[in-house]
Amino acid sequence: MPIIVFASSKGGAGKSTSACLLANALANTGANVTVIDADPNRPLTRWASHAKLPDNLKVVTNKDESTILAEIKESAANSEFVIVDLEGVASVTVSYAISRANLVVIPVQGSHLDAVEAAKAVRLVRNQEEAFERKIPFAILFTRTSPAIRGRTLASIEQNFKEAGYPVFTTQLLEREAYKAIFSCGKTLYQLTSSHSSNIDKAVRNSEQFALESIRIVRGLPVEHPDSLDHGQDDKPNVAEIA
Amino acid sequence: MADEKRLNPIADILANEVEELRHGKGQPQFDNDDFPSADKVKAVGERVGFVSRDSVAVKQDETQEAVEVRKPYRWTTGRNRTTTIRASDETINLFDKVATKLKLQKGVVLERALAAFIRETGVDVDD
Repeated sequence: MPIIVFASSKGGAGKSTSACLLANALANTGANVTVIDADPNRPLTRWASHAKLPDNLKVVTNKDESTILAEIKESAANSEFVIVDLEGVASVTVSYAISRANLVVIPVQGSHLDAVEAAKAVRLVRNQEEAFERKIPFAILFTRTSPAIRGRTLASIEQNFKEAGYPVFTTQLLEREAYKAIFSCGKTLYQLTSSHSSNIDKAVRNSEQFALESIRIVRGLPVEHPDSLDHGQDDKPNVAEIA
Repeated sequence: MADEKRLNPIADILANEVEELRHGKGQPQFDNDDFPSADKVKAVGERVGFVSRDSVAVKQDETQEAVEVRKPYRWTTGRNRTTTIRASDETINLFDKVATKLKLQKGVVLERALAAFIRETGVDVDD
């Protein structure tokens, strides 16, 4: 079953949050999902230890680089989706995980530092594609963005990626309080209530758009712009929430 | 239910996509035998700076060798015996003065004084 790897050698790019959101969205469809936490800081292991996860969503902790391939193989045999959250460094573990991926998601915040590290991950993917003659789908995912304010840096980075021929998710993971509440409250996105965070419905829709786009890339299908899927519903957070 | 669908059509589309995937439509084919070996993957990664972060155990003999290389420099004179000689204050003071003046250990002064005495007297000490 599909193996979706979150990679960027920069810490804080949004790997764990976006991996968690994808796992939440897929598990909510009833799919059997295993998340491999290969980040030495163990953010998702900690989250899972506090959260009451549904039976079809499991988080396993990877020990080190010597075990990641076996962990992926075993999880793929027992789950419909395997999601790998990698450490924020350029390591052999990242190489191993990408070598088994059906999709590599490269989260990037709108900063030059993130973009440089994203380019390293892309270089690794392309080197592996060339060396092993295997197509490895990948795409850049902008995280913690604001639809209300589109900075010049973000626009410049998007343009650079476009010129370099990097595929970019049409969906951007917006800066949302609900995404932070998942970790601070120890809940899945679907267990949050209005007492935990505002605009949960918009957060759900945003993360499901991302999940849908991920699945379509895995399946080799064309990706529709999220606005066309949303039937005109406004998914923009209000300015107060961003602040 | 219809209202729920109108509220979040993406959830339904996503569920349909997952269901189609579950039935093999667009399902990626997996065969672990087709995957490159760990060694090959590691080599490709290292070429672009993705290196091992795990600590490496050092073999015992390598450790031993490293210890021997770092053995501190030590120089021994062989002057490790003591003896008591009864002498006058003047002789002892003169002995101290010579050693201080020449910046030599007293054992070295004694060795050189004996060698000079043997040369001067021609005494045969090999008997």
